Amino acid sequence: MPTPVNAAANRRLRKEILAKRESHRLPNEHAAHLQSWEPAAIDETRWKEIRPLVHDAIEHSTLKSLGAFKKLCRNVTDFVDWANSHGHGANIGVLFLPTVIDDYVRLGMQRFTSGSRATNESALRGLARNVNPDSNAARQTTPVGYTPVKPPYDEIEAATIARIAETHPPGRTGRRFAACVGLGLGAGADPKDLRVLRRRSINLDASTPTVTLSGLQERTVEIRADYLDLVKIGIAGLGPSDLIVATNTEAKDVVASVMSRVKVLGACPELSQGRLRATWQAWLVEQPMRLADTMELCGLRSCRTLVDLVHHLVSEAS
Amino acid sequence: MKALTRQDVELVASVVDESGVVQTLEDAFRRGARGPRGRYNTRTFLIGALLSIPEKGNAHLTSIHETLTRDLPVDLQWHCDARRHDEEGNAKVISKSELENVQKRIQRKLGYGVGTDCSEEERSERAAILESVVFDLLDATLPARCYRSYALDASGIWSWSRFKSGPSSEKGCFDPDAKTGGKTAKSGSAEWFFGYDLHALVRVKDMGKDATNEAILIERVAVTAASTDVVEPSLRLLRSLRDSDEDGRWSDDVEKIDLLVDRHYSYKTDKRWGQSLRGLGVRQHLDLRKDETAFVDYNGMRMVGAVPHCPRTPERLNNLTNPGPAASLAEKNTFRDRVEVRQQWALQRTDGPDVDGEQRYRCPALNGTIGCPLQPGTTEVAVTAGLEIVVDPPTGPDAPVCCSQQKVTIQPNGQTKLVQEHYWGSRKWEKRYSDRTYVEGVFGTLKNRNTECIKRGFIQTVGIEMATFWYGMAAVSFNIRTRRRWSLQQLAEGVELDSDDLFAKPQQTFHGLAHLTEEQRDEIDGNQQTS
Repeated sequence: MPTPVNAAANRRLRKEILAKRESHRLPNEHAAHLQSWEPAAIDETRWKEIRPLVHDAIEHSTLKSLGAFKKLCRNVTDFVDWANSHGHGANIGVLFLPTVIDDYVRLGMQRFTSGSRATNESALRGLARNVNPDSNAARQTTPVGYTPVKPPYDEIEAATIARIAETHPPGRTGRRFAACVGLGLGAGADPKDLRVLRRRSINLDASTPTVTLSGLQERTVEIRADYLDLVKIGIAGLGPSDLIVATNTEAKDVVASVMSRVKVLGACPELSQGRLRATWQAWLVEQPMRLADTMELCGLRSCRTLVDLVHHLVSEAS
Repeated sequence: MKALTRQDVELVASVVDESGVVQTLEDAFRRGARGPRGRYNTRTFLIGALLSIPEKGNAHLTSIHETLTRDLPVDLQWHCDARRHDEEGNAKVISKSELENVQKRIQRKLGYGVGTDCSEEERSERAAILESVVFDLLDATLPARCYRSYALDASGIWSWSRFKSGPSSEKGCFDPDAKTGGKTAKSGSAEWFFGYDLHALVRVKDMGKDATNEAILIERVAVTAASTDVVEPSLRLLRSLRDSDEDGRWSDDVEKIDLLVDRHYSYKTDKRWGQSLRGLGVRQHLDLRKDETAFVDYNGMRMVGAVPHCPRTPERLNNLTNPGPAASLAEKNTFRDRVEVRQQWALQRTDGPDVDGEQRYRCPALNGTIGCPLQPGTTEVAVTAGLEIVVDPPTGPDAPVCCSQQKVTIQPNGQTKLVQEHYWGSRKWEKRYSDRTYVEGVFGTLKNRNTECIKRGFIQTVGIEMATFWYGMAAVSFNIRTRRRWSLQQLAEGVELDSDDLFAKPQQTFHGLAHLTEEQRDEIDGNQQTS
């Protein structure tokens, strides 16, 4: 049952928000700093052009610390300078939009360290919520609990991991690791799929070897021929009802415990079942196939993951 | 068979006497007649009918005669004039032909069917008299109301005559007033029948109130040939209720009367049905048909069930169809959840509908149920309250007016006929609409073989006037039985009822029956003569 909506309370809250917006003023020392603020990195002519925009935006700041406020002045000046010079508009209503900040973070912040990028982005988005609350509030509503898809391995990394799995010392860990890699790269198995996967779910006798995964959405997937040998190693010696990777179906961190026991001597990419699955998904989205079928084979209920995956592929290509 | 007691006879006699229909019928029998007033036996006939119908499950004259002359104790036969003195002073019981005469008079003097030889004006007058007889009898069984809700429905009843088709039908059908119509079979499928539609307006409780405070009684009934349009008879029933003098039924202090109807009534155009209801101050509650659950564009807004929604209402909320009463609880809950999510995208009604169906609505973001960047402050509210947010609101000169104005006017349109108080499919609507089940229950009881048992053969005569009269009598019988049972339940629960109310008299103790000897019977007759 959806949470009941108290419309009257929401209307009252809106009135309060609007009244608060109306009554907002900068503290005196913040205002004094803003009046005297002149960026060293921007020449005087340019500063004259963008100064009204910077002032308009910073007037909306609710920061209490003067130190943070001074940093914000620098960030906002840099952002406004970049955005204005890239044709994003000449008023704060169209500058402080999530899409413009996205572009700035992606293209205009490359000279900053990753830590500074995150700090500056956070400060900018915070100010944007005050400057343009109605357009920026929606950005906060990304579903809670959404896990962004991990980047797929590139070809070299995938080949390295496959080789490590093939040459791993035999034994329980080696068999399980081979199964994880074979089914991850060969059929897109998720850790949830592997936790409940039994030997009888894999059919290697048919003309097309398949595995039926049921941890996410139940689906039957054809195992990629390149990774069939790994899967064979992974199921060697198991009876039909034996679990392939887990010790029992209630066990936690099934795959992580396998990965942590893997013996690696040389260089090896970070081992992650999510990335193995993403690599298979990246291969799948490049196949000529209907979107609905792709989603079904991936065990997905929405195509958000695929969209994110495409972003990874595009950035990799660029 | 239940033994008839003095209490039963007095109750039925009081209903007949209080209704004043004996006078109405006898006045009608004398219309156009000259000479001295004859003896019509109307009161005895009506009492016999109301005693016989629930006991015998039919309205045959033989059954009525048997009830009056064999099932009734001898002293009670005197009470209701079924036993009387002849010219020589001997006791005699009413004859079957005397009862037949009453029925023949009704047919002759009040017949208004297809074959009746009279003017249209006379035909309507006769129909009105017969309907007033039924309404007056029903009124005599009804206590004052404590609620203001009704459920209306029609049920098909087979005629005694068979529908004739093919080469043997040259002489026409034996019942010229009956028609062929469709009805819902017990299995839920549609079936054809030849006969009449019985329209019933039934009392139901107000939303969220206690159903035990009031008996479920039939307020009004009307009979039409099958397949006759439901609008005219339904409005006639409602108007008769409004014009009734009975206290507490339809008073000016009540803003609206709630009327629960099924999907059949949503076919009717707003001009004929909806506007008439609003003119009467009636607020209908109805179900949507499967082809009415998809969004339809209205000036950029998305309309469903006569309610405008935000132009950016997600497509996933389009075409939500009710899983139906046979669905699992989980399916029903899923449907209700989705409907209530969609309700958040619906504009809020602030005014109307007026009689013409014009309404004013407010944007859902301004109402506080979603967030929209076009309405300052609402997206922050939405984030705080966990509401959905319009991601891409329409802008520019082509944007719908609801995105630039606080309120919009919805003019009468093709969906105005579906206007109702609660949002279709929501839990509130479900709670209100589920009370419609009472009218179905009433029809079920009327057709139950252990009660009135209305089915083909309930009356073995034909004509619309006979159907109106006898099915009306069955409704009166239903009301007497139901109100009596409800009163006894109330008494058993310790509720204080009016001590003068015959329906609320404690049940007379039954000690058994004994056969009379001839001497004992003569003694009773003699006592009657003396008294």
